[in-house]
Amino acid sequence: MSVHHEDELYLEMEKRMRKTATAKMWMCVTACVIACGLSGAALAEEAVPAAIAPTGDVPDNSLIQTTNVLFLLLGAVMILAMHGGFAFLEVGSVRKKNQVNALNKIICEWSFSAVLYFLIGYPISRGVSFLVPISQLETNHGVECVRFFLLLGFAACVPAIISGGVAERAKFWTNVLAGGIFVGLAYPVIEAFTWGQYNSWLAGADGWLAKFPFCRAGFHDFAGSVVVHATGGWLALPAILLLGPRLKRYEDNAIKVSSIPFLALGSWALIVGWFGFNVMSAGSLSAVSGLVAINSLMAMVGGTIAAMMISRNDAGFVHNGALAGLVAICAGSDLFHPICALVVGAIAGALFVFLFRVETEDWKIDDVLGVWPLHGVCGTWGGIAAGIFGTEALGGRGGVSFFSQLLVTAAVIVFTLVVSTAVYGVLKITAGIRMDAHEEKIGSDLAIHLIQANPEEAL
Amino acid sequence: MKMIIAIIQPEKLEAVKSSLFNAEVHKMSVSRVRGCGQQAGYDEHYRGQVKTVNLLEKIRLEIAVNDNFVEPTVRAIIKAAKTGKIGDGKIFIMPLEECIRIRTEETGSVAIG
Repeated sequence: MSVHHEDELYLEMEKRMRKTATAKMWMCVTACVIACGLSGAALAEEAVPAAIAPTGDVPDNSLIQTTNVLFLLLGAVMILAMHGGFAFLEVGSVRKKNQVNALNKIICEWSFSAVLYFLIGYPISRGVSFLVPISQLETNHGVECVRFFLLLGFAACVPAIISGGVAERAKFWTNVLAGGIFVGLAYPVIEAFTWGQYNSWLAGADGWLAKFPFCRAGFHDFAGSVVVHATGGWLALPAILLLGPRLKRYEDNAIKVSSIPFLALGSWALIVGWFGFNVMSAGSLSAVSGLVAINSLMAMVGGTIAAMMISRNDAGFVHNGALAGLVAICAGSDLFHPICALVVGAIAGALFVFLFRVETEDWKIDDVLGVWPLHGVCGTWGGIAAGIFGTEALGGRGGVSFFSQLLVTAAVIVFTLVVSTAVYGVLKITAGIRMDAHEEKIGSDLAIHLIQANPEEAL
Repeated sequence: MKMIIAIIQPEKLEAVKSSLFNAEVHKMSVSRVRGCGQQAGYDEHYRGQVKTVNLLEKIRLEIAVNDNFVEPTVRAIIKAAKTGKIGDGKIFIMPLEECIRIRTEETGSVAIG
């Protein structure tokens, strides 16, 4: 007798799966229609879609172009490895019954991000379209294609960061949809005004912001403390708040992490890949800077040591402390003296340890991986620190202004909070953003992916 | 002297432990086991293959008690582990012939403690 169909709980699960399957199909169809419509609109607006970025001259020298392609590709691939790091950091930090979900979520959101950033996001931020003849794409050995690949790595960090905060209880498809909106629209808007085609207002040395009272320079964020990490961390916060804590998290507190080795592995993959994230932000081999590399290193170790000392050698804090330092150094890695980089990283590591405890225990915000303190706050600190330690008075290269950094960082925070509250708020009211109690109890692996992380253990 | 064996849901372990501590029962052995009863299993899907899993994760508690502690122990376990749904588990009470404390070589009710 087929016992497994008699149990009411599991019958319900199967019914729900069938319903979500049709819902998924309609979401895909809608998404495709919207994507086609938007990219069509984008093409229609630009009289001559340019496949080559409007910034800078493009030398004829083939050697320069080929080495740039290789340089950017190396960075892109290192950032791709970082996303593997995101995956394993989450795998180790969640319970066993949610490990498969962490893995599938990261690789699927990477994939959706790639498509949306290709069709919509990159055109918004850089004014470049890829819906052009292939001969245009191959210009200069396809340097624009690898530049897209590199910048995609940055953009896709945003849903990966959010994924860490909403782990174990977020519905798969609504999270993908929110992530898609962020990568396709919200992040590119921020990127456009800080790095991309409209950046002269905020970042230009003679731009609108540089002429503002007290701001004697434009906004400087070399590798994305604010543009990527603060954006991701602050976008995650409303999502975490709207989702609510995991079941019984603040009652019996029996939730534990599943694997410190995987957590550490994820951290190492992120650390190694981060040198591509920071160093290749130079954009071309001729602009590469060893200073960026050593500053990244110093900040990482500063964060690790600070976290170790404050948390008394706690495994989770030590491995995340390294990441905190790396998040904070992105903005000013081309400006600081390495000793200042060490200090900035140490402060970030300390901030993370302190705020994670305050956030998850005092304020009872169940941020599973601590993405708000790690990316949101440390990214904010990095953006502001660039305006402190980047100044010539503190041994930096100069050309930065504390107030410019403060203003744009604050603006990004406000923008992301508003956008995320709106997106997740609407999704919560309409489709619902959280798995139901039964699904959360059996775990997202079985509820969504119908398999557990170690199938051989199931008998 | 009796040996009480209880098979309970894993998520009830913390509650059952607290309940037992409140009933002055502090000594026990806990192991992870797999079991099936009336509670249904589930299907796993991987790369197109479907496999039924019906041995579910359970926690097994083994508690050696003196006769006067049998009733309070059982009541404490049921109080914490009962949800009224299929899958709550079972308690077995077995006679215990002898108990020896290794450290002091005491035997009998004194050894159970």
